[in-house]
Amino acid sequence: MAFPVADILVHPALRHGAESRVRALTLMLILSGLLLLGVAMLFVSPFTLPDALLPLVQCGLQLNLGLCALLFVLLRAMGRYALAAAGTLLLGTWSAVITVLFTGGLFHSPAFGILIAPVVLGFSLGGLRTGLLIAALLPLLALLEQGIQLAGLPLPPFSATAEEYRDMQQVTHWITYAISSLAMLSAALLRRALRRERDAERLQWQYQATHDPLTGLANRRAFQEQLAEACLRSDRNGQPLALLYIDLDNFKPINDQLGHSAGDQLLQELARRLVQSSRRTDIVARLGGDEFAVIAEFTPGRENAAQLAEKLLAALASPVQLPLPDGSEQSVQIEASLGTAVYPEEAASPEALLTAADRAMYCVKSLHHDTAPGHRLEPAP
Amino acid sequence: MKNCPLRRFIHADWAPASPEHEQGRLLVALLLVMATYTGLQCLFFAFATLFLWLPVIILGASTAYYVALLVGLVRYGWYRLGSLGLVAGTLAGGLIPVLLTGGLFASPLLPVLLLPVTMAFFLGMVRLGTALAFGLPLLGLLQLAWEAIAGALPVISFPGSRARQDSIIANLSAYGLMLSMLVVFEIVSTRLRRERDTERQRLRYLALHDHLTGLTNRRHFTEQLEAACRRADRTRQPLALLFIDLDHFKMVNDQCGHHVGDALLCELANRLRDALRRTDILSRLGGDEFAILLEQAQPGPSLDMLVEKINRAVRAPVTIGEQTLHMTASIGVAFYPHDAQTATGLLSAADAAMYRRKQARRRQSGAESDGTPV
Repeated sequence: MAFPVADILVHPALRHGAESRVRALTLMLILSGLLLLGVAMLFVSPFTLPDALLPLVQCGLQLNLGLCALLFVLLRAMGRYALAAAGTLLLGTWSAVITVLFTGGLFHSPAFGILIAPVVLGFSLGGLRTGLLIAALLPLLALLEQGIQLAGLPLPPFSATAEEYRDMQQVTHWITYAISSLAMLSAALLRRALRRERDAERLQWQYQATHDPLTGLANRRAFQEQLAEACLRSDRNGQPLALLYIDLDNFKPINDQLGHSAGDQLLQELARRLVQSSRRTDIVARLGGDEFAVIAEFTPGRENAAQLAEKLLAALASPVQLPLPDGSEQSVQIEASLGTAVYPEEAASPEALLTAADRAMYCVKSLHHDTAPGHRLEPAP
Repeated sequence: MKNCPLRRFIHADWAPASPEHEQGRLLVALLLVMATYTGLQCLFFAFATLFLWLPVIILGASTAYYVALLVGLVRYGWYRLGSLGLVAGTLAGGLIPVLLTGGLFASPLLPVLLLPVTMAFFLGMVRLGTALAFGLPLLGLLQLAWEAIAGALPVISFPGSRARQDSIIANLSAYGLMLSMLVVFEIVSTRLRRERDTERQRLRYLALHDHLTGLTNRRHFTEQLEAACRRADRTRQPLALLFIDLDHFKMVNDQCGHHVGDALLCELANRLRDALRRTDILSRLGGDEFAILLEQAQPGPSLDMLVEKINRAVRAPVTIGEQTLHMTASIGVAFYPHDAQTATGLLSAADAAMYRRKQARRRQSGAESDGTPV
């Protein structure tokens, strides 16, 4: 996948592969959201927070903004994704903890809701384990609070009027809302990119697993599956199907005398002709070396199958021009043996159908051997 | 209805087929969490605050709603209805209580508004999620406009309760709900991802291996050969490529039938595999051609011995059913970087060496093969 514009935003070390690229971009999205939120809070806090808290909050916000900028530099200028992600998680977590501790503690704070934000960040940036780890913080926070009180250390006194309390609650709610949505948006974008990449790869493997790389026809594995399915369809709709099994008679000497690349070109050309002369719904497959097969569904009788066979043989029989390694061309005429079997007349199962067609092909081939033992290929110059 | 793909949710041995199936399983999990959550809340309100019937009715109705979506999804495969219904349900379930308890700027229940956004993102509806995330704060403007025209929103306060306690309870339950959603989502999506990866691995194996013998196929071998050439460049250790072609294999296929030919190829592939070291790479290039890649191999007696070993392995009679076959092979050897400087060049050099050998054997027409390595 290409992100021509977005690439500028990502450090060169993180541009390899869609995954690291999208990860870097989404972390950047989260960090810019945090920066914007911090700046907004700097302006909003004087109007919404109790005066006693204000200096502390302003100080903490400025510190956080500095850290955010530092993480940005880590990510863009130094390409340290893992460090930046861990830093973002720490930043989010400690801000939430400090906020709750300094506004009356776990059981009284109006800012309690903000504890969701680092958990969502943990799940989005880190996954299940990180998310659970941060979620486990909640009981730990209660312990910390108890510990501080038992040690006799003073937490700053927190007092707010009912109105201030409500305002603070609202502000923290909206902060939580913004951070969580942003984190989940980033995670959703990342998942979508990864999923598209994986699906594309899967399709590619699927294609390679079912197609012959040389001719692009279905390979033996795909052919067997298709044949079984075609037989099932034939059972259902009562229409017979014909299997045509084709074996080239004099391919091996061409391969041996003109070289493999000429042989490959010949196979490609013949495959193209087979596809062209069969009907659109027929399935043409290369079963191996110089064997091909055609599944022709809706073939009502032997005559139709014979017609199709004649057509295919005629297409194969016209000469093929093959380039030789020395630059010249040679005209080659190929002879093929074709065996036909019809389902369900001559065979009751796909395997039996294949064997029947194979046997029919060999009958033809032995006839060829008897009548024309030589092959029509001039000796290579 | 019987063919509905999502019916298979109930089967444990269900294999992933399409992205929609996977998303469907996720949706089932999310709906289950929501139904359980609203059900528990309904019970809580029914038993803890005996005189508050409004929330009990609303929560009971929403439990029934989620269960209905769940049934529609699992029995009839209504995925779209289920996913949009879940987002709409959580949206209503967030907005109504917020508006009833003071509106967007005062309600202690505000965190519940995160749920529809979460659901949309979890279900992969990125655009809807983004629209909700930005749209809900915009509702605040609407509320301000309403308040300017028609006066303040009616606030239902729970009799006898205190704002702080309400807020803590609301926050805690929102926290718990979000947490359980995140956990369920992560667990389900990790499992789905793993299944999809297994499927991908299987397809990859099929694409790179010969289905008859299980050896690597030409495509995979070419890649391996290129990698080996790069390694050889770095380590300055030559590598050898053996090209093996069975003599007169076509005749076996023609005279004894394909099933005999296939069994013969399998048997010979096994023998070749046994003759090699574990680090050597054996591949079936197609038909009756095999190739062997030996890293850090030099021309010399040990290589000659290996070629002889392969020759012997091929020549030993093969019994298939009632037939006993005697096969021979022509083997061509080429070295990298001595004979060719590229992977494809090396392959054709070995191929050419094999053909020279085959021609030489043909010229000794019918005489028994000399057996000396190339």
